[in-house]
Amino acid sequence: MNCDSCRESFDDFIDRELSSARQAEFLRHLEECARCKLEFNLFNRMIESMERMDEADPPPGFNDELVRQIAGTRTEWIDNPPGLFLGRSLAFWSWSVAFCGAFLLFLGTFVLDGGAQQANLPPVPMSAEDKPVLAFQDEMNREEVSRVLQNAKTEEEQARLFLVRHEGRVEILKLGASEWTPVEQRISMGFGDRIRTGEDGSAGLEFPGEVALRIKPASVLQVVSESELRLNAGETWVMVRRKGRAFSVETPNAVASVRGTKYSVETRGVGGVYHDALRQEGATVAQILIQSGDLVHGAPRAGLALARRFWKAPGLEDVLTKVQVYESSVWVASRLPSGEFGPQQVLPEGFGTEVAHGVVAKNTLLEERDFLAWRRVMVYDGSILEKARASLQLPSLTRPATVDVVEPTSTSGPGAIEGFEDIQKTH
Amino acid sequence: MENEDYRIIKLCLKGKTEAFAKLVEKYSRRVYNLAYRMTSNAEKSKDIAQEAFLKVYRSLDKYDPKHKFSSWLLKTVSNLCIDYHRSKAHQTASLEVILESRAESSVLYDEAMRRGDPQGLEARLESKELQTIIREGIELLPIDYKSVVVMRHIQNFSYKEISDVLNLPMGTIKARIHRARKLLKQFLEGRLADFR
Repeated sequence: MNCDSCRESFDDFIDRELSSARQAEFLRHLEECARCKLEFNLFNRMIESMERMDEADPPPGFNDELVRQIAGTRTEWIDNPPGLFLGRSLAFWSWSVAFCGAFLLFLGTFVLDGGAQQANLPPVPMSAEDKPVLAFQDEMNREEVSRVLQNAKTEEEQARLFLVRHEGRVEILKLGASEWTPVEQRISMGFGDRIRTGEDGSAGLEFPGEVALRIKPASVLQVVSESELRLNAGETWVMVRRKGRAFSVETPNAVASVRGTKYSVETRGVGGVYHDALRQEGATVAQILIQSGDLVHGAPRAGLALARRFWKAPGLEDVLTKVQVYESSVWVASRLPSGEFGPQQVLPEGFGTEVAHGVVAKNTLLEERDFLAWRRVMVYDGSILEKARASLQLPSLTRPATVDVVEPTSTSGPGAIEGFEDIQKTH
Repeated sequence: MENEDYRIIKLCLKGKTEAFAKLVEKYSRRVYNLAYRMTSNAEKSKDIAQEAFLKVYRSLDKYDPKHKFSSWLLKTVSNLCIDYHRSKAHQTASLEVILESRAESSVLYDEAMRRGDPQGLEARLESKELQTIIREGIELLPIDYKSVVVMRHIQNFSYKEISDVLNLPMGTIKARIHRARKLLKQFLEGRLADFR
């Protein structure tokens, strides 16, 4: 493929209308030709920018004014109603009347309530159940997608999560298997499968064309479904490629879900290098940063806004969690000492909140399924936060409070993260 | 979704015209946004949005359940925007004219390559100014291109939906989108090349 035909393929690539062979050629050319790559990036960014444009609100009172106008409007069909029900049976009439009644009841309620309001969810009791959740949408790396699609055998396989890149120690535990095995390139993951990375490991996964993930070192990720992943430990960056495609990421400590935005979710388990770092640096608050919108300058091309959480070791109560909103609005519900959750509130842009016992945060209204069992929390290393903040050029946060360092009781047992401790040992 | 809309329409036709409010609530944002993107004029968008709903309401008995209500509504919006566009006296040159008179925009890439600084260009692509420039470009697009680009990339309609709304074959839609993208790209390149 030469530069001209490459440029001619831009549209088809964006619309996903290139055959796998052509896609492979296309991406190969981009790899080799810096100029075309530059040009394609501009084109791609242009499309993305449009797809991310905010919707404008109609002027206030628009709906009401319009409804009033309509109420006063006479139409031909009002004056001469179409003969829909002439000659119908009585039974039909009864049915339709009942239906109307029910419907109008709903409508009445709707009109009275007016606009959207925050729901106050009933407190959800904590359960010890392990529920995998979490899906991110990640920005798609075209090269990887192409490579993946090249090798996908069937339509069905294309809907699965593919490993497109891995470095260092990366292992997979298939559903039903008893042992972790090293990954191979382009391995695909289905429901229930787990993947983990060692201290030097990292992996890139994709639902081709939909979502991309970067799994950081010392992480464990479990696939639940097309739109749900569970992050049991470590950190994953996620980017949703397609607007409107919802993903939620669940970690045992909180849930972050997003629709076409970018963020990362982090959980840290007890043990290993993180613990050592903590012992040296001292423990600080964990922060959940939920950000939506454009890529921040300086962040990696496939990087995202971040959400961080931290884990709390059993027995430690006085660790603060802070939620800081940088863009858009975030719904939060804080956990009460009893283990249940309080009513959710909306945090607008620029606002933050600090809670003592944990929090659930999401950038749309929280649903019941978002409330998870609170299992483990670990004190968090403030230096990691600083690094993240620098790379994202976020506004400066308030100084986190310091608390005592957590001493883990062991690297296995109730305090440990499944899959995590083994990697530590074998290092 | 479609069934719900049709049920509401049937209710209206039976005399419960207040049920139409539900359709207003459901689609007002989308209607307003489409109008706004196509006219770039908030006041006009409000007028067009209202008019579209009223038009559809007055012709409710002519609604064909074979088609989605939303397509019908949005088609009405789109036609009103096109009418508005055509009736307006255009003083500003459209994008096509502007670009034809512009120098070759590959200057942008040649410069970046020569300077050995593709990252500099990349960085500018990540900045917020990009969206502003693109908005400007969209505004300058001829209405036929503007409508398809707005529907496809801002409102996320599928090609099929656009084809339904504009009542044009898919091939035409695709061709227009490709051309629109090309124009926008050239516009963007030109503007970025201006900033040194």
